[in-house]
Amino acid sequence: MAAGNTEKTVTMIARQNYEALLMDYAAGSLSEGQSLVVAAHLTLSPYARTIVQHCEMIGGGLLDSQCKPVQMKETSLQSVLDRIETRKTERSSPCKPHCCDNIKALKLPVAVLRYLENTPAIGWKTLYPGIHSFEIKTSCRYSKVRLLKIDPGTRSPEHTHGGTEITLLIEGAVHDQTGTYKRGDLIVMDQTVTHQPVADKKQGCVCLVVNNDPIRLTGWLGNLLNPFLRR
Amino acid sequence: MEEQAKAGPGKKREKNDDFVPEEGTNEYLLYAVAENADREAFIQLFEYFAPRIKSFLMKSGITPEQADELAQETMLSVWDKARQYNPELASASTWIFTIARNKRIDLVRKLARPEPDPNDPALVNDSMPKPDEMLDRKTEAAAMAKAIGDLPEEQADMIRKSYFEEKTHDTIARETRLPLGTVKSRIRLALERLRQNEDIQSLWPQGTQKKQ
Repeated sequence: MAAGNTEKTVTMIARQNYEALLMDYAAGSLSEGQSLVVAAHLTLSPYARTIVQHCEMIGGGLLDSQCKPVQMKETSLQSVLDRIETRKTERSSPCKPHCCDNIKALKLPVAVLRYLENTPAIGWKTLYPGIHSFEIKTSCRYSKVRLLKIDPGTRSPEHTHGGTEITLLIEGAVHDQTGTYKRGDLIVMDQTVTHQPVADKKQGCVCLVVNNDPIRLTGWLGNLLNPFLRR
Repeated sequence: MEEQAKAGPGKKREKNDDFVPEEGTNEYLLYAVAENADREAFIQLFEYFAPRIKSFLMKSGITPEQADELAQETMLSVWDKARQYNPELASASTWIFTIARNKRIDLVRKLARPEPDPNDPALVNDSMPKPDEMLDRKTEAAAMAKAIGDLPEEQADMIRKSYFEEKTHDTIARETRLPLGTVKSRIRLALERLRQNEDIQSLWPQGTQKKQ
């Protein structure tokens, strides 16, 4: 269910989900939380950046040909020219975020670090033996972004997804029925799939996960853990 | 970790400052704004793009009044950011689309839009060498427009819903009552067709054919 930096045989469905997600990002329709994870993936995957570039070209074509010009107000042009004249300086680009060492050690893309500037340290909360979570607060109400640290060899409970779950591998490796994933790889899951990822036996893994809806666990363990994970 | 080492600072793809787009194109006008703060060029860009941006914004349900203001904001950003525009990577239409899209996200959802930072030390660069031949972007938007026009209606409709109405695939599926898989496969077919179209194939950024 992934595509990343490496050549990988992906099934049609996985490829479809992946491209659909990147297109939604280019079209500007993703939630903030999902955009955050996709932006982090784009930092780590030149291939993904190329796909997004394609999809932005489609946007350019649509703007050019399918947006029948609607006359601007008579004063609009002059107003913009006046503002160019009177403004003092243009906004400078934001500077590098400052984060504590405990966060820096994770080698997160800057897009993510911007959300952690005022975080003194990552306080991992153990959700389940071997699975630790840290929520990254965004202004988005529709999605929940978390860093998950999974200890070596830990098998996460089998689960399906109410909405879309997107996982970006930051460190270490994880594998499930569909393959092995490492730094920069993105796993896109929707409600049609059930999976049970296992963290690498030696290194475990850290990943960035966004859920658009609370995930639904399946099986007896799922029933037990569901309310827990929704917190 | 490995990626970190590969993508050392200074290896980021630099814009080629010697590249000058052909005169008489929107790309050239943007170049003139970037290089010489050329007002006349900016006015021409405004006259071409502002009414289109306004139209684009109104398609997502923004009122004409707000769309007008947001189109002004977009053009102001075009002026401010013109130096960031790289004519080798995108047509003027594509670049301006991305600015208008971000303005729309700011307004409609009042949400931030996280983006990859090109100066991020964690950025993993494309290992493929850059081609000597420079791509000409001037025909890109027109070729793309034609290719979109040639799509089967059911596919073009999905594309319009995504780009104009800010709908994710999930939302489109819910609203059209089509299975999510059908929506996604229509989108994929559309993307595939747009990629295989002869007129635009040469314009795709390098390195995209490898996963075909």
